Amino acid sequence: MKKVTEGHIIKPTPLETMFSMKELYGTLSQKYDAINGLYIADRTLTPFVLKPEFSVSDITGMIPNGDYTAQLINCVWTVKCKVKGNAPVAGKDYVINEKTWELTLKCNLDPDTSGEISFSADFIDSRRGDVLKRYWRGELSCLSETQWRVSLRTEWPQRTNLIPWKNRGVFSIPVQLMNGDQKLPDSSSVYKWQVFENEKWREIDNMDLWYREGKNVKAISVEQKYIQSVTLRCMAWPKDNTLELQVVAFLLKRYYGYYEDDLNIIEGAYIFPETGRAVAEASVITRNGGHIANAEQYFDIEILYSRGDGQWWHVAHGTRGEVTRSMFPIDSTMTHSFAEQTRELTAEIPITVDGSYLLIDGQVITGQFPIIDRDI
Amino acid sequence: MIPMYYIIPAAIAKKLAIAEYRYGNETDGYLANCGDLAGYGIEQAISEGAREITAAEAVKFAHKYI
Repeated sequence: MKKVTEGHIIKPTPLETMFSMKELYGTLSQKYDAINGLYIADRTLTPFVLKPEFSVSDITGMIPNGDYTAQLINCVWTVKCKVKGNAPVAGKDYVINEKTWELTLKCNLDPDTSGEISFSADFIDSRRGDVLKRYWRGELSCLSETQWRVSLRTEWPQRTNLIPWKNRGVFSIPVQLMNGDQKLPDSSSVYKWQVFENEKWREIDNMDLWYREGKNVKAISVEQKYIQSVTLRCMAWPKDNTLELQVVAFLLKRYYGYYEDDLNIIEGAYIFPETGRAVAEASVITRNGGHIANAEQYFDIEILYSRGDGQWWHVAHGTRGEVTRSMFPIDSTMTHSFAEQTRELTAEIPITVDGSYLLIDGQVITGQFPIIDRDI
Repeated sequence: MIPMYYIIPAAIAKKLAIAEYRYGNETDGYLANCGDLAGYGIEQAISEGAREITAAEAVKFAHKYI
Protein backbone atom coordinates (compact mmCIF):
# COMPACT_ATOMS: atom_id res chain seq x y z
CA MET A 1 0.00 0.00 0.00
CA LYS A 2 1.28 3.30 -1.04
CA LYS A 3 1.73 5.77 1.79
CA VAL A 4 0.69 9.27 1.07
CA THR A 5 2.17 12.02 3.11
CA GLU A 6 0.34 15.34 3.03
CA GLY A 7 2.70 18.33 2.80
CA HIS A 8 2.17 21.78 4.28
CA ILE A 9 3.32 24.92 2.57
CA ILE A 10 4.48 27.25 5.23
CA LYS A 11 4.00 30.87 4.19
CA PRO A 12 6.09 33.58 5.81
CA THR A 13 4.46 35.75 8.44
CA PRO A 14 2.41 38.52 6.79
CA LEU A 15 4.10 41.85 6.39
CA GLU A 16 3.33 44.62 8.75
CA THR A 17 2.34 47.56 6.61
CA MET A 18 1.52 51.14 7.18
CA PHE A 19 -0.44 53.14 4.64
CA SER A 20 -1.29 56.77 5.07
CA MET A 21 -2.14 59.82 3.05
CA LYS A 22 -0.25 62.97 3.91
CA GLU A 23 -2.05 66.25 3.35
CA LEU A 24 0.56 68.81 2.44
CA TYR A 25 0.33 72.58 2.00
CA GLY A 26 -3.40 72.75 2.45
CA THR A 27 -6.47 70.88 3.58
CA LEU A 28 -9.30 68.92 2.06
CA SER A 29 -11.76 71.59 3.08
CA GLN A 30 -11.75 75.07 1.65
CA LYS A 31 -13.53 78.25 2.52
CA TYR A 32 -14.91 80.74 0.11
CA ASP A 33 -15.13 84.36 1.12
CA ALA A 34 -18.38 85.19 -0.61
CA ILE A 35 -18.03 88.89 0.06
CA ASN A 36 -14.69 89.35 -1.59
CA GLY A 37 -14.95 86.41 -3.97
CA LEU A 38 -11.80 84.79 -2.62
CA TYR A 39 -10.93 81.19 -1.85
CA ILE A 40 -9.11 80.50 1.38
CA ALA A 41 -6.71 79.18 0.33
CA ASP A 42 -6.88 79.48 -3.41
CA ARG A 43 -5.51 76.23 -4.81
CA THR A 44 -4.96 77.80 -8.20
CA LEU A 45 -2.33 79.96 -6.49
CA THR A 46 -1.03 77.64 -3.79
CA PRO A 47 -1.87 74.04 -4.73
CA PHE A 48 -2.75 71.34 -2.23
CA VAL A 49 -0.79 68.10 -2.27
CA LEU A 50 -1.81 64.60 -1.21
CA LYS A 51 1.05 62.22 -0.78
CA PRO A 52 0.52 58.47 -0.24
CA GLU A 53 3.01 56.73 1.99
CA PHE A 54 3.36 53.01 2.22
CA SER A 55 5.94 51.28 4.35
CA VAL A 56 6.48 47.69 5.27
CA SER A 57 8.10 45.84 8.08
CA ASP A 58 9.00 42.21 7.63
CA ILE A 59 9.75 40.40 10.84
CA THR A 60 11.13 37.46 8.84
CA GLY A 61 13.74 39.75 7.40
CA MET A 62 13.14 38.43 3.89
CA ILE A 63 12.66 41.90 2.54
CA PRO A 64 14.16 45.02 4.00
CA ASN A 65 11.95 47.24 6.08
CA GLY A 66 11.23 50.68 4.70
CA ASP A 67 9.24 52.82 2.34
CA TYR A 68 7.67 50.97 -0.56
CA THR A 69 5.47 53.71 -1.98
CA ALA A 70 7.32 53.59 -5.27
CA GLN A 71 6.56 49.86 -5.50
CA LEU A 72 2.82 50.32 -5.31
CA ILE A 73 1.06 49.13 -8.43
CA ASN A 74 -2.34 49.65 -10.00
CA CYS A 75 -2.39 53.10 -8.46
CA VAL A 76 -5.56 54.99 -9.28
CA TRP A 77 -6.54 58.44 -8.18
CA THR A 78 -10.17 59.46 -8.53
CA VAL A 79 -11.23 63.06 -8.09
CA LYS A 80 -14.94 63.81 -8.07
CA CYS A 81 -16.01 67.39 -7.55
CA LYS A 82 -17.36 70.42 -9.34
CA VAL A 83 -14.97 72.99 -10.73
CA LYS A 84 -16.87 75.83 -12.34
CA GLY A 85 -19.70 73.42 -12.84
CA ASN A 86 -17.63 70.73 -14.50
CA ALA A 87 -15.65 67.68 -13.50
CA PRO A 88 -11.98 68.41 -12.83
CA VAL A 89 -9.59 67.78 -15.68
CA ALA A 90 -6.51 65.62 -15.11
CA GLY A 91 -3.32 67.42 -16.00
CA LYS A 92 -4.98 70.82 -15.52
CA ASP A 93 -7.00 70.77 -12.35
CA TYR A 94 -4.93 68.07 -10.77
CA VAL A 95 -1.59 66.52 -11.58
CA ILE A 96 -0.34 63.07 -10.58
CA ASN A 97 3.32 62.32 -10.11
CA GLU A 98 3.69 58.79 -11.40
CA LYS A 99 6.88 58.17 -9.47
CA THR A 100 5.75 59.24 -6.05
CA TRP A 101 1.99 58.99 -6.70
CA GLU A 102 1.56 62.43 -5.21
CA LEU A 103 -1.49 64.26 -6.40
CA THR A 104 -1.34 68.02 -6.68
CA LEU A 105 -4.78 69.61 -6.61
CA LYS A 106 -4.72 72.93 -8.45
CA CYS A 107 -8.40 73.72 -8.56
CA ASN A 108 -11.01 75.17 -6.24
CA LEU A 109 -14.31 73.50 -5.62
CA ASP A 110 -17.39 75.46 -6.48
CA PRO A 111 -18.63 77.23 -3.36
CA ASP A 112 -20.95 75.22 -1.15
CA THR A 113 -20.22 71.95 -2.88
CA SER A 114 -18.48 68.85 -1.71
CA GLY A 115 -16.57 66.18 -3.50
CA GLU A 116 -14.61 63.04 -3.06
CA ILE A 117 -11.06 62.10 -3.69
CA SER A 118 -9.77 58.57 -3.46
CA PHE A 119 -6.64 56.58 -4.03
CA SER A 120 -6.32 52.85 -4.47
CA ALA A 121 -3.18 50.82 -4.95
CA ASP A 122 -1.89 47.29 -4.67
CA PHE A 123 1.28 45.90 -3.24
CA ILE A 124 2.52 42.44 -4.05
CA ASP A 125 3.98 40.59 -1.12
CA SER A 126 6.33 38.50 -3.21
CA ARG A 127 7.20 36.25 -0.29
CA ARG A 128 3.67 35.02 0.04
CA GLY A 129 2.30 35.90 -3.38
CA ASP A 130 -0.37 38.02 -1.71
CA VAL A 131 -1.83 41.15 -3.21
CA LEU A 132 -2.27 43.75 -0.53
CA LYS A 133 -4.95 46.24 -1.48
CA ARG A 134 -4.85 49.70 0.00
CA TYR A 135 -7.48 52.38 -0.28
CA TRP A 136 -7.87 55.92 0.95
CA ARG A 137 -10.77 58.25 0.58
CA GLY A 138 -11.18 61.87 1.52
CA GLU A 139 -13.99 64.33 1.37
CA LEU A 140 -13.46 67.60 -0.34
CA SER A 141 -15.59 70.53 0.60
CA CYS A 142 -15.90 74.21 0.03
CA LEU A 143 -18.02 76.30 2.34
CA SER A 144 -19.05 79.83 1.62
CA GLU A 145 -18.37 82.08 4.49
CA THR A 146 -20.06 85.38 4.91
CA GLN A 147 -19.44 87.14 8.16
CA TRP A 148 -21.19 90.44 8.14
CA ARG A 149 -19.76 93.31 10.10
CA VAL A 150 -21.00 95.94 7.73
CA SER A 151 -20.44 99.61 8.15
CA LEU A 152 -20.60 102.63 5.92
CA ARG A 153 -17.43 104.61 6.17
CA THR A 154 -16.82 108.17 5.16
CA GLU A 155 -14.30 110.81 5.99
CA TRP A 156 -16.66 113.51 4.82
CA PRO A 157 -18.06 115.52 7.76
CA GLN A 158 -21.74 115.18 8.44
CA ARG A 159 -22.15 118.93 8.28
CA THR A 160 -20.32 120.96 5.69
CA ASN A 161 -20.34 124.72 5.70
CA LEU A 162 -19.99 125.91 2.16
CA ILE A 163 -18.45 129.33 2.28
CA PRO A 164 -19.46 131.14 -0.90
CA TRP A 165 -16.12 132.83 -1.53
CA LYS A 166 -14.26 129.56 -1.07
CA ASN A 167 -16.01 127.89 -3.96
CA ARG A 168 -15.44 124.18 -4.31
CA GLY A 169 -17.19 124.07 -7.67
CA VAL A 170 -18.30 120.50 -8.34
CA PHE A 171 -17.20 118.20 -5.55
CA SER A 172 -17.77 114.62 -4.55
CA ILE A 173 -18.85 113.10 -1.28
CA PRO A 174 -17.38 109.63 -1.11
CA VAL A 175 -18.54 106.79 1.11
CA GLN A 176 -17.41 103.19 1.28
CA LEU A 177 -19.28 100.11 2.39
CA MET A 178 -17.06 97.97 4.60
CA ASN A 179 -17.27 94.51 6.03
CA GLY A 180 -15.03 94.53 9.05
CA ASP A 181 -11.94 96.33 7.86
CA GLN A 182 -12.32 95.18 4.27
CA LYS A 183 -13.88 97.28 1.54
CA LEU A 184 -16.87 95.58 0.00
CA PRO A 185 -16.35 95.39 -3.75
CA ASP A 186 -18.53 97.77 -5.72
CA SER A 187 -19.90 94.83 -7.67
CA SER A 188 -21.36 93.38 -4.45
CA SER A 189 -22.63 96.63 -3.02
CA VAL A 190 -25.62 98.84 -3.58
CA TYR A 191 -25.47 102.58 -2.97
CA LYS A 192 -28.43 104.89 -3.16
CA TRP A 193 -28.49 108.61 -2.41
CA GLN A 194 -31.59 110.56 -1.45
CA VAL A 195 -32.41 114.12 -0.50
CA PHE A 196 -34.53 115.34 2.41
CA GLU A 197 -37.28 117.70 1.40
CA ASN A 198 -40.66 118.62 2.87
CA GLU A 199 -40.11 116.41 5.91
CA LYS A 200 -39.36 113.30 3.92
CA TRP A 201 -36.67 111.58 1.94
CA ARG A 202 -37.11 111.46 -1.79
CA GLU A 203 -35.24 110.35 -4.87
CA ILE A 204 -32.77 112.77 -6.39
CA ASP A 205 -33.71 113.85 -9.88
CA ASN A 206 -32.31 116.02 -12.59
CA MET A 207 -34.37 118.97 -11.44
CA ASP A 208 -32.13 119.13 -8.38
CA LEU A 209 -29.76 121.64 -9.87
CA TRP A 210 -27.06 120.96 -7.30
CA TYR A 211 -26.88 117.32 -8.39
CA ARG A 212 -24.27 116.35 -10.93
CA GLU A 213 -23.87 112.56 -10.89
CA GLY A 214 -23.43 109.44 -8.79
CA LYS A 215 -26.78 109.02 -7.06
CA ASN A 216 -26.42 105.24 -7.41
CA VAL A 217 -22.73 104.86 -6.73
CA LYS A 218 -20.49 105.40 -3.76
CA ALA A 219 -19.55 109.01 -4.50
CA ILE A 220 -22.11 111.61 -5.33
CA SER A 221 -21.07 114.79 -7.12
CA VAL A 222 -22.76 118.06 -6.34
CA GLU A 223 -22.18 121.67 -7.31
CA GLN A 224 -21.73 124.25 -4.61
CA LYS A 225 -23.24 127.25 -6.35
CA TYR A 226 -26.69 125.65 -6.30
CA ILE A 227 -26.57 124.58 -2.67
CA GLN A 228 -28.42 126.66 -0.13
CA SER A 229 -29.16 123.89 2.32
CA VAL A 230 -29.23 120.31 1.16
CA THR A 231 -29.55 117.27 3.37
CA LEU A 232 -28.47 114.09 1.68
CA ARG A 233 -28.29 110.56 2.83
CA CYS A 234 -26.55 107.58 1.42
CA MET A 235 -28.12 104.20 1.95
CA ALA A 236 -25.87 101.25 1.22
CA TRP A 237 -26.07 97.53 1.67
CA PRO A 238 -24.42 94.34 0.43
CA LYS A 239 -26.19 93.26 -2.75
CA ASP A 240 -27.28 89.95 -1.29
CA ASN A 241 -28.08 91.12 2.20
CA THR A 242 -30.47 94.01 2.48
CA LEU A 243 -30.70 93.46 6.23
CA GLU A 244 -27.28 95.03 6.52
CA LEU A 245 -28.55 98.40 5.29
CA GLN A 246 -26.35 101.25 6.46
CA VAL A 247 -27.21 104.92 6.31
CA VAL A 248 -25.22 108.09 6.66
CA ALA A 249 -26.56 111.62 6.27
CA PHE A 250 -24.83 114.82 5.24
CA LEU A 251 -25.91 118.41 5.60
CA LEU A 252 -24.48 120.82 3.06
CA LYS A 253 -25.18 124.42 3.92
CA ARG A 254 -24.30 127.74 2.37
CA TYR A 255 -22.54 129.51 5.19
CA TYR A 256 -21.24 133.04 5.62
CA GLY A 257 -19.84 132.81 9.12
CA TYR A 258 -18.63 135.98 10.77
CA TYR A 259 -17.96 138.99 8.63
CA GLU A 260 -18.20 142.76 8.81
CA ASP A 261 -19.03 145.26 6.15
CA ASP A 262 -16.96 148.35 5.80
CA LEU A 263 -17.32 151.59 3.89
CA ASN A 264 -14.69 154.12 3.04
CA ILE A 265 -15.26 157.48 1.47
CA ILE A 266 -12.35 157.63 -0.86
CA GLU A 267 -13.17 160.91 -2.46
CA GLY A 268 -15.12 163.94 -1.28
CA ALA A 269 -15.26 163.25 2.42
CA TYR A 270 -14.76 166.91 2.95
CA ILE A 271 -16.36 169.34 0.63
CA PHE A 272 -14.15 171.99 -0.85
CA PRO A 273 -15.14 174.47 -3.52
CA GLU A 274 -13.44 172.35 -6.13
CA THR A 275 -14.86 169.04 -4.91
CA GLY A 276 -16.85 167.69 -7.84
CA ARG A 277 -17.99 164.37 -6.49
CA ALA A 278 -17.95 162.02 -3.56
CA VAL A 279 -17.05 158.35 -3.92
CA ALA A 280 -17.42 155.55 -1.41
CA GLU A 281 -16.17 152.02 -1.62
CA ALA A 282 -17.75 149.17 0.26
CA SER A 283 -16.00 146.01 1.29
CA VAL A 284 -16.60 142.96 3.40
CA ILE A 285 -14.03 141.76 5.89
CA THR A 286 -13.80 138.26 7.27
CA ARG A 287 -13.02 137.26 10.84
CA ASN A 288 -9.30 137.11 10.13
CA GLY A 289 -9.32 140.61 8.69
CA GLY A 290 -9.08 139.67 5.04
CA HIS A 291 -11.12 141.49 2.44
CA ILE A 292 -13.38 139.26 0.40
CA ALA A 293 -12.48 139.74 -3.22
CA ASN A 294 -15.42 140.44 -5.53
CA ALA A 295 -17.70 140.71 -2.53
CA GLU A 296 -20.59 141.74 -4.76
CA GLN A 297 -20.68 138.15 -6.07
CA TYR A 298 -21.67 136.90 -2.63
CA PHE A 299 -23.48 139.86 -1.13
CA ASP A 300 -26.13 142.22 -2.25
CA ILE A 301 -24.38 145.50 -1.45
CA GLU A 302 -26.33 148.71 -1.67
CA ILE A 303 -24.64 152.05 -1.20
CA LEU A 304 -26.72 154.87 0.17
CA TYR A 305 -26.06 158.55 0.48
CA SER A 306 -27.37 161.17 2.85
CA ARG A 307 -27.01 164.91 2.75
CA GLY A 308 -27.32 164.94 6.53
CA ASP A 309 -30.99 165.74 6.47
CA GLY A 310 -32.05 162.29 7.66
CA GLN A 311 -32.97 161.12 4.21
CA TRP A 312 -31.04 158.33 2.46
CA TRP A 313 -30.71 158.04 -1.28
CA HIS A 314 -29.90 154.90 -3.17
CA VAL A 315 -26.66 155.46 -5.03
CA ALA A 316 -25.49 152.12 -6.30
CA HIS A 317 -25.61 148.37 -6.10
CA GLY A 318 -22.08 147.07 -5.81
CA THR A 319 -18.94 148.05 -4.04
CA ARG A 320 -18.61 151.54 -5.43
CA GLY A 321 -20.99 154.45 -5.05
CA GLU A 322 -20.58 157.92 -6.47
CA VAL A 323 -22.53 161.15 -6.11
CA THR A 324 -21.98 164.34 -8.02
CA ARG A 325 -21.77 167.76 -6.50
CA SER A 326 -25.35 168.50 -7.48
CA MET A 327 -26.44 166.05 -4.75
CA PHE A 328 -24.31 167.60 -2.03
CA PRO A 329 -26.05 169.41 0.85
CA ILE A 330 -27.15 172.90 -0.02
CA ASP A 331 -26.68 173.90 3.59
CA SER A 332 -22.94 173.86 4.11
CA THR A 333 -23.35 173.29 7.81
CA MET A 334 -24.69 169.84 7.08
CA THR A 335 -22.38 166.84 6.74
CA HIS A 336 -22.97 164.34 4.02
CA SER A 337 -22.36 160.64 4.50
CA PHE A 338 -22.50 157.25 2.85
CA ALA A 339 -23.87 154.03 4.23
CA GLU A 340 -23.99 150.52 2.96
CA GLN A 341 -26.41 147.73 3.39
CA THR A 342 -24.88 144.33 2.93
CA ARG A 343 -27.15 141.33 2.60
CA GLU A 344 -26.15 137.73 2.10
CA LEU A 345 -27.21 136.19 -1.17
CA THR A 346 -28.83 132.85 -1.61
CA ALA A 347 -27.29 130.15 -3.75
CA GLU A 348 -28.43 130.02 -7.36
CA ILE A 349 -32.05 129.04 -7.04
CA PRO A 350 -34.40 128.23 -9.87
CA ILE A 351 -36.92 130.83 -10.83
CA THR A 352 -40.40 129.40 -10.97
CA VAL A 353 -43.55 130.51 -12.71
CA ASP A 354 -46.74 128.98 -11.37
CA GLY A 355 -44.68 126.35 -9.61
CA SER A 356 -42.73 125.34 -12.72
CA TYR A 357 -39.13 126.13 -13.50
CA LEU A 358 -38.63 128.94 -15.94
CA LEU A 359 -36.70 127.61 -18.91
CA ILE A 360 -34.92 129.37 -21.70
CA ASP A 361 -33.63 127.10 -24.45
CA GLY A 362 -34.21 124.18 -22.11
CA GLN A 363 -32.01 125.68 -19.43
CA VAL A 364 -33.39 126.38 -15.99
CA ILE A 365 -33.12 130.03 -15.18
CA THR A 366 -31.69 130.72 -11.76
CA GLY A 367 -31.04 133.73 -9.64
CA GLN A 368 -29.47 134.78 -6.38
CA PHE A 369 -31.51 136.83 -3.97
CA PRO A 370 -30.83 138.56 -0.66
CA ILE A 371 -31.89 136.39 2.22
CA ILE A 372 -33.37 139.30 4.18
CA ASP A 373 -35.56 142.16 3.17
CA ARG A 374 -34.14 145.58 2.48
CA ASP A 375 -34.04 147.58 5.68
CA ILE A 376 -34.09 151.26 4.95
CA MET B 1 -7.54 89.96 8.79
CA ILE B 2 -4.29 88.04 8.41
CA PRO B 3 -2.72 88.63 5.00
CA MET B 4 -3.16 85.49 2.96
CA TYR B 5 -0.23 85.49 0.57
CA TYR B 6 3.49 86.11 0.77
CA ILE B 7 6.41 86.10 -1.59
CA ILE B 8 9.09 84.24 0.28
CA PRO B 9 12.78 84.05 -0.54
CA ALA B 10 13.96 80.83 -2.15
CA ALA B 11 15.96 80.03 0.99
CA ILE B 12 12.80 79.83 3.09
CA ALA B 13 10.98 77.84 0.41
CA LYS B 14 13.80 75.32 0.53
CA LYS B 15 13.74 75.10 4.29
CA LEU B 16 10.01 74.45 4.15
CA ALA B 17 10.44 72.05 1.23
CA ILE B 18 7.69 73.76 -0.69
CA ALA B 19 9.60 75.12 -3.67
CA GLU B 20 8.49 72.16 -5.76
CA TYR B 21 4.83 72.88 -5.03
CA ARG B 22 4.75 76.64 -5.23
CA TYR B 23 4.91 79.09 -8.10
CA GLY B 24 8.08 81.10 -8.34
CA ASN B 25 11.80 80.68 -8.82
CA GLU B 26 15.13 81.32 -7.15
CA THR B 27 15.19 84.93 -8.27
CA ASP B 28 11.61 86.04 -7.79
CA GLY B 29 11.01 83.96 -4.69
CA TYR B 30 8.01 81.74 -4.21
CA LEU B 31 4.34 82.37 -3.62
CA ALA B 32 3.28 80.97 -0.27
CA ASN B 33 0.13 81.22 1.76
CA CYS B 34 -0.15 81.93 5.45
CA GLY B 35 -0.71 78.23 6.15
CA ASP B 36 2.66 77.43 4.59
CA LEU B 37 4.32 79.81 7.02
CA ALA B 38 2.32 78.84 10.09
CA GLY B 39 4.99 76.53 11.44
CA TYR B 40 7.90 78.71 10.41
CA GLY B 41 6.46 81.91 11.76
CA ILE B 42 5.25 84.78 9.64
CA GLU B 43 7.27 87.32 11.64
CA GLN B 44 10.35 85.18 11.22
CA ALA B 45 9.74 84.84 7.48
CA ILE B 46 9.24 88.60 7.13
CA SER B 47 12.47 89.24 9.01
CA GLU B 48 14.17 87.02 6.44
CA GLY B 49 12.78 88.87 3.47
CA ALA B 50 9.26 87.54 2.95
CA ARG B 51 6.74 90.17 2.02
CA GLU B 52 2.99 90.11 2.18
CA ILE B 53 1.01 90.69 -0.97
CA THR B 54 -2.64 91.07 -1.82
CA ALA B 55 -4.70 88.35 -3.44
CA ALA B 56 -4.64 90.33 -6.69
CA GLU B 57 -0.85 90.54 -6.57
CA ALA B 58 -0.71 86.82 -5.85
CA VAL B 59 -2.76 86.11 -8.97
CA LYS B 60 -0.45 88.29 -11.02
CA PHE B 61 2.61 86.60 -9.62
CA ALA B 62 1.27 83.08 -10.12
CA HIS B 63 0.24 83.79 -13.67
CA LYS B 64 3.85 84.33 -14.63
CA TYR B 65 4.41 80.66 -13.93
CA ILE B 66 1.13 79.00 -14.84
